[in-house]
Amino acid sequence: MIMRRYIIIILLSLISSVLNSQAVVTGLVADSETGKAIPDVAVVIDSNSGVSTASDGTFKLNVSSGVSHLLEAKMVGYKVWRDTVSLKPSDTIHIEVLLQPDLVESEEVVVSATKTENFINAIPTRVSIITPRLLKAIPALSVDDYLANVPGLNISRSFGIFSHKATITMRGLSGNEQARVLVMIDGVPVNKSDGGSVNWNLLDPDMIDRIEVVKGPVSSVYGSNAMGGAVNILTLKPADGFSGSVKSGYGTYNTFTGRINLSEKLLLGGDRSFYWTINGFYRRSDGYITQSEADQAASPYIVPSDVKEYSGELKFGYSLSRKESIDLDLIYYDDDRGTGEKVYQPEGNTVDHDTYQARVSYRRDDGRLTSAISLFWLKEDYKKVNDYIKDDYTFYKVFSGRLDAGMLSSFTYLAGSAHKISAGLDLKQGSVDARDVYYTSTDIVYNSGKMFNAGLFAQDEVSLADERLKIVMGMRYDLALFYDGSFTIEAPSAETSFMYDLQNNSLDRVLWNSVTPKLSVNYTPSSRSRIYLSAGRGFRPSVLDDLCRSGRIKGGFKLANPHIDPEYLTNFEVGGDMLLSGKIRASASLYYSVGKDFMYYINSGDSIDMGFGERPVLLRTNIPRVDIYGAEMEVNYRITEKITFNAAYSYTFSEIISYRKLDREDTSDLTGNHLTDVQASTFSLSGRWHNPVADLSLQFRYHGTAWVNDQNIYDEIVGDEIYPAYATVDARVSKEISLLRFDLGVQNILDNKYFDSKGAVCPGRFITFDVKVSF
Amino acid sequence: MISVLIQGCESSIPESDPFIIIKKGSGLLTDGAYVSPGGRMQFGITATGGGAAITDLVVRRIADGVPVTELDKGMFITTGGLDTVLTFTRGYADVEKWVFFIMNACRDTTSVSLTVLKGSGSAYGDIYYYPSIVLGYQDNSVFPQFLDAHTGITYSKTTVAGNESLTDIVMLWHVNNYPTISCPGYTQTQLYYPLFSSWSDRNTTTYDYGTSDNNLITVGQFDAAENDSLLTLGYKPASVSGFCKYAYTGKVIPFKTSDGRYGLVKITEAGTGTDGSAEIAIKIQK
Repeated sequence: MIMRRYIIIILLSLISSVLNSQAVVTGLVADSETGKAIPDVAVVIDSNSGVSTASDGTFKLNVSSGVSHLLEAKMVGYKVWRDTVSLKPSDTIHIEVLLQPDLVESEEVVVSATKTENFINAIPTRVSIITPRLLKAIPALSVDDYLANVPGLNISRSFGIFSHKATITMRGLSGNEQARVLVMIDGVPVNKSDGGSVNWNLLDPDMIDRIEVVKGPVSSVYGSNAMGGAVNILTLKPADGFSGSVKSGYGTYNTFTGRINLSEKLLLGGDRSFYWTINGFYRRSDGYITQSEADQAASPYIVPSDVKEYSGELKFGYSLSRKESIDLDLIYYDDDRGTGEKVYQPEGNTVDHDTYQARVSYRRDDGRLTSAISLFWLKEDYKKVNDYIKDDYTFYKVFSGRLDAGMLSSFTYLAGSAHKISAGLDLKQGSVDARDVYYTSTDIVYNSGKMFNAGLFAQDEVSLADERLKIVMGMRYDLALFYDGSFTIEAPSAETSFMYDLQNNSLDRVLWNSVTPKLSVNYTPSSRSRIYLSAGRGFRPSVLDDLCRSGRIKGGFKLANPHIDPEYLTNFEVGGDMLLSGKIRASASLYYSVGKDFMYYINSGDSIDMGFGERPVLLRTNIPRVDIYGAEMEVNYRITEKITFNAAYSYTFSEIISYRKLDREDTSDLTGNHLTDVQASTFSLSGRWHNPVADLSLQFRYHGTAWVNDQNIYDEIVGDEIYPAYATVDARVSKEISLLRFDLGVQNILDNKYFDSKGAVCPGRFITFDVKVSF
Repeated sequence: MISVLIQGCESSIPESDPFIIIKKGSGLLTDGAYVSPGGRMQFGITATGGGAAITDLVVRRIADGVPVTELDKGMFITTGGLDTVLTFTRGYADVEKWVFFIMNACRDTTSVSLTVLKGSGSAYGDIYYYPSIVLGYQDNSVFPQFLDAHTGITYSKTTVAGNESLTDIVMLWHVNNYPTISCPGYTQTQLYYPLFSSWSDRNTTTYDYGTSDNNLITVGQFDAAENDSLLTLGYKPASVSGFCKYAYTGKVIPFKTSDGRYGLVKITEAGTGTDGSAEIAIKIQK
């Protein structure tokens, strides 16, 4: 309370000059059929700020007077309501908004599929949205948890919040290759050039407004990484005035979480406004022992895998007018994760990420011409401590500096009523500068490399037949240049001397280019149905880690290969949505993809003695063809406006059609094999009940079988060639009382234990209880 | 000081450089000493990390201008420093320079060296020869699994009780389906012999990987060896030495026991399966 007063006093002096020019809009949002109030409706003013309705459906907005404002009320399952209001200084008006149910969600606006705003039913591709309402219903401990129910997505996070790495792929692509799916925060890519990975822990789940998932290749607008699809995480922007919240939680394994959020939006007169946001997040947990029982029996040095992490975010935004705005976002994240073994080092084996992100975005909308330019800078300092006894005691640290920076630009022009033409230029520079520093021997192993990407895209969205037919044609040209690659060793001992001859301080400079077209058609015969067809191509060049780093990997020794060609995915897709009755919405998609030059570890024919006998030298290289096909289905059933059900199913099948050996003596042949670490089928069933006592949500998920390794062969640790299927049930109970919100979340209620390829076990049932105070 | 000792080097600068000296004393070699080829040499080493933990000890023999790493051992000694006696065998070169090098957790290094001159004659010593020993793999219920390489005595899982500190060699059938020779001190071996986790004395025997899968020592050479010359020269510490090794039929594998004795093991015949067994022959320094 003291903090709140203090901040208010300071800021009062800043805003006093503009308060006199403000007016107030209050309102109530209700269902047009039942007349009942609807909570959590987004009430947006001038498309750039707004509030959510309270549990009684009411809202209050401060707006500048003397000008007209576009007011919108948006809620999943309802058509968008729009009106224009114009108020005099100090006016207060009250509006009653009746939302019409729209179970097709045809008026949900998405931005990620085409880089332009479109209603979801007008986009000729499959887009899934995690809406604010869904975000509140899912017991998420990390951002990727929100995506678990999206059909066709494959999520790998073996140890829950204790995982330092999570991977999300989609539509049958291997579950260990994050580089095949583009991930963005507010439209800015966060896949690192080094390994293609994404730090899913970077964002506090509470700071997310919505998530858009575009399935299938979108390289025609985004280029590299968007080969399999894209995930765009859109963060919250503050409502008018000052607001804030403090949230604290406690959970399984002595997990403590703390969050603070402060924000304010100042109306500066005219159409100008300024906002700032401060977000802070802290989490620590004692963790649990992840290792298999056999590993625990074999080592006296096993300890729980624990976590300490915190992050801070500063956001600023300035609207020069209703047409023009600029945003600045600064994020810092630091974690320290124990990985379950401790010999002599005070924290044992640990992984530490220090991540810094800066983003500046400028947007101008002149009606016919919309311009958007973003500059981004993402730096990650990664440190891994290795502290173990095998033959002797071994202690070394991995330091890896990863930097990605670039510029995105997009310009959209409305040419008449039928054409929306977009074009843009994207530039990105990625680099890695890494070293393994040994302390129990003299060795230091260095690897470094840089990747420059440039992409030019153009797209035309053609609307015909009174906008019932939409054709999207796009094409992008990308070039990627790998340079300054090196792999060297200093003072090698027996630890690394076997790599001595592989040193190269001037790896070949290699340039690739790619053209990725996409053509798609959407037909909307009525507001109750639509069908789309799509054909597109996606691509991605190799990650730096495969281009410039040699070293041990599971199953052998990886040799840096700067000559890996980019891989491509050509996708054909058909899908549709239908409102089966007034309350049931069904959607389905079928796809067939042909992968070309997929990157695989292939036996080079050489072997190397790494100190424990001869092991094969594996080269990351291309295999000619992989076929993937699958289907996704989803049904939403709104029994009443307070009770909804969702069922989703996905199936995928992949097969290597053609395999090219590097060595004639290589006895392995991957032809006929299947992509790994991706569940062949998934099924989820979830229900949400919004009632006066508490909001309840329950989710059941079935995770099908998945292949363990590229060779599809028996794995001695897993004890099979496939991971078994398993099921999980999650629940969340929430209650708001005035400014207080209570959340009880339970992940994996049945406490099912499932294991990864190292025999390590998941955290099992995880219970959290959070209390949030808003002001 | 404490934080440096515990954390290595991240938060503080160590008090001083690491320090190493060669001790003098009964049986310990001094600079300029004469030792005949094959003679045992004992070096006494005392070292401190200079305020940071000692993390690495390296011993190099430089003979005829060619350096060979005889020992490269990781460690983490925070208090009391390092005080040890190391045993090696004199080679044939006229002059051997021995360099003792340590590194601390800050990667600060220091070294000390001494010269050992060649004595007259030969000091290669006698060996024990055990021509036929059968060891069972982990699930074998017929043959014993544990071998005292010095005496050739074998112990079963039952009879080994009380003789744990005498066990130098075990054999096992690896999960990747190959015969393996190892020792109780290797942590991975506990996956096959869980009883090792309760042993207070677990000897480590290092096997020379330099011979790896190449037959640098033939069965004929093994059979002809009558003193420890081949045993000491066959063990190539310049290459990685580990606590386990493939043990295919017909291989001759140099090894060194935890008390510093060199030996050769010949795999006469290696069976298959976790309940299989292997027949071996051992030659070891007396």
